[in-house]
Amino acid sequence: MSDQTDVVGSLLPELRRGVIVLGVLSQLGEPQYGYSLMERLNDKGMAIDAGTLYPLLRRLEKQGLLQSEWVVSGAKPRKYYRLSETGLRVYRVLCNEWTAMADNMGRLINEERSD
Amino acid sequence: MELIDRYIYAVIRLLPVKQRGDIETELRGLIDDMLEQRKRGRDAGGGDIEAVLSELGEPSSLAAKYSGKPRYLIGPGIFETYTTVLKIALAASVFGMLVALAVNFAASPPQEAAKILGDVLGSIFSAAAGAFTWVTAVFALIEYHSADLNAIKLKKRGWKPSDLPEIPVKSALIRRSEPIAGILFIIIFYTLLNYAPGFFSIYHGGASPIPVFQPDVLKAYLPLINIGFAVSILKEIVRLAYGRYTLKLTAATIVLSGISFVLTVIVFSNFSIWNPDFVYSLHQTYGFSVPPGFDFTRPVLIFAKAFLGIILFAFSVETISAVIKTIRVGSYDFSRLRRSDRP
Repeated sequence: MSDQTDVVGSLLPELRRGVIVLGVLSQLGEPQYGYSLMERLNDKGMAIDAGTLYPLLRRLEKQGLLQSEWVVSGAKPRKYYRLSETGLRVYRVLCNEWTAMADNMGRLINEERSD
Repeated sequence: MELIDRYIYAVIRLLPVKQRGDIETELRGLIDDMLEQRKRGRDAGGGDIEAVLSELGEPSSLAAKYSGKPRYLIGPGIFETYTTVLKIALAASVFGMLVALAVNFAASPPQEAAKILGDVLGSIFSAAAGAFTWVTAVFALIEYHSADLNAIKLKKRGWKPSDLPEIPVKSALIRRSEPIAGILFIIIFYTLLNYAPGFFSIYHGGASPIPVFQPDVLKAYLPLINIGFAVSILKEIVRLAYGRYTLKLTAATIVLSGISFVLTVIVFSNFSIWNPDFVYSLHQTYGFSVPPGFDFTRPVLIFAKAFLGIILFAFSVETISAVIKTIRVGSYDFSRLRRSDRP
């Protein structure tokens, strides 16, 4: 039984890894700083920890999908991220891919169930 | 607060200097936000900070997520070769140092001999440390650049099945013992020339040994000679790593041999590196008869010239045989191989 838990424990993060990027991009049409984005994603059911999200935001910025800006007017300096133009285009492409994939997966899984 | 500073320091010290300031501010803000979320109005206690930092996880794994790719000094691709070469280099340098010490011990007066004996451990340790440093440095460089080279090559034109190396026929394989023996000899020679140049002498009973080389001149050329040794070791490492004769390998070894050949010629075309009194000292010791007015430096000069010739000959033979071997095994007929494999 614990073997099965181990396997699920290693497969689940893999399954989620690709989707997280899509989730993050979807929320960045308007500027967000790391923590607010994290809360927002958690509220909407996509659990993500800060240790994953913060480095990911940096990586996406480096790839040119996000642009960032330090805002120092508040109580503490915050780095706000939002989609760049490239990021928006990439996001749309990924969305189409995801929809197609979700449809296909839905069919595959339901086919299994109806058998 | 002190705990937070310690945590942030532990993370950013593992990151490139350029990113540190930015990530530090970001992390500080994040930890602050997480604390606020936890305490919700009440004052944050020490337990809250610990809980938040535990949630962020171990600093080195967070830093690893920030830096993205795994970084190796010597990666899994070349680690096997590295350990092999390291073992050879350690064995050879320790052995060479032992020989050098034995020579110095035998050649020195008793009061100094005790001192040499006292230095044994130190000398062996420094020889081993030197070998370790050089081998590691060379492999780290190979790792650093080969990753780049592979990435560039793959980016340019992708991987094709035709890139697969052919299955080597037996005769195309380089026996591992060849480069290993090569490295052993080079390191032993290196240690002797550098630490016990007196080894290259004629010994005769109680008389002081007759050196083959002129010590001062030899010493002046040592840096050049050592570069030659380094190039030769690099050549043997390349052979060991490739493990088979291919056109590329042959080209690389010929270039490397060429470099050490040129260096050797530069060193030995200065005939004063040989001890000009060598034959005279022999005459003194053994008392063989010579014609009256014999010039004792003449045989040394003749030998010096002949030695250059021998070097040229050896280099030519090595190059030609490498080319022939490559051509022979490089153009084999695969079907013929299969047929000959059958009983």
